[in-house]
Amino acid sequence: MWCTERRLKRREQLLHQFNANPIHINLILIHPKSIPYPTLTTPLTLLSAFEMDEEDGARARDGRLNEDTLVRLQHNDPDITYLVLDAATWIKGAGRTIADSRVLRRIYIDVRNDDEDHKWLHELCLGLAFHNRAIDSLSLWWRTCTYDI
Amino acid sequence: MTYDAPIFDTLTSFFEHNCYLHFLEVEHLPTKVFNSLVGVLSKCKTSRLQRLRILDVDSVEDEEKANFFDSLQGLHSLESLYLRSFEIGMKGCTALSKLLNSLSSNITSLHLDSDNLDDACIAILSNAFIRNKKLKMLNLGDNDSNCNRLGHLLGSVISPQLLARISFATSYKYLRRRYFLLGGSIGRQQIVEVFGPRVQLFHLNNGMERI
Repeated sequence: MWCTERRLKRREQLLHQFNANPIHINLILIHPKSIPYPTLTTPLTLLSAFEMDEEDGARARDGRLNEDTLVRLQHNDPDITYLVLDAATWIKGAGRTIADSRVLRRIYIDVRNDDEDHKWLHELCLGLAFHNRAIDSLSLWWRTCTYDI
Repeated sequence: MTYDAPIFDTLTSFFEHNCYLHFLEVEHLPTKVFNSLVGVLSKCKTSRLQRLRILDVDSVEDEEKANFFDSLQGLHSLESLYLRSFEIGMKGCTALSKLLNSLSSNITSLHLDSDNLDDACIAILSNAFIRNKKLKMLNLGDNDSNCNRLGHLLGSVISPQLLARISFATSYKYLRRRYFLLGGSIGRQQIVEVFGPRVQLFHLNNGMERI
């Protein structure tokens, strides 16, 4: 795994190459940690980034919240850039930590009708509304559960 | 019972003040939640949202979908709009056309995937596509369309104006290339016959083929 310094240096190199010479690059695969979207400017880049979303979404399903990730979030660990949040894995009080994170870039919120209560969602939204100014991608999956009788 | 708290009302401040928020994706929103999203988008014109994906909100009425398109008016940062199973009716299509023809719209990528567009909707949108000068990518995949519907659209799309723009585009191959995504009802050969070799790349049935 790269250390932060090496990652930043590599990011700068990639950006320099890409912005200087966009015509010669057909497809650039962008890891969610590597290049933030604001720096991507050409239509081609936006298209490529867009196509990565499906894979990112699949990968993100592994990024569930647990006590370890919460502690790492509190310490702004740069490896925690995305989280999948749902009622099953919610930790009471996590809303403020998530909202205060300066490294978290993407969150995927998984809401289910059959969750016993949705206080966790309210806590999360309040935190985001009043404290978070860093997240660049928000996904909200609203799932309706049906049962066979 | 469906849980449908209008949570976007709570998130208004997040949309207003988070200048890094560029991407929003929502899936299966109940009507009340969808309407709260429309409310936020109407209010937060300072948002820097660039890409918006709305998936599977077929339970929402056409008039509310029209309100959604109206709420995007003035959202200058929005470049990509992805609507899957959105099932737009006449009112929605009229509002979308108005949005596409609005001077303030900067949408360059439009996906109308599995939206059950009927002939009347296609006719409304075709006119918008002809007048719009900013779209670079159009996805009409999986619209359950027969050849007549897409034929109607293609008939509109190959207007002299657009051909001129395609011709212009080829001189900037990679940067200005136009993409078209079409469902399986139009064959590759038919696309070649309609567009000729000028447009180089199409997505067919989610695949990518160079023509």
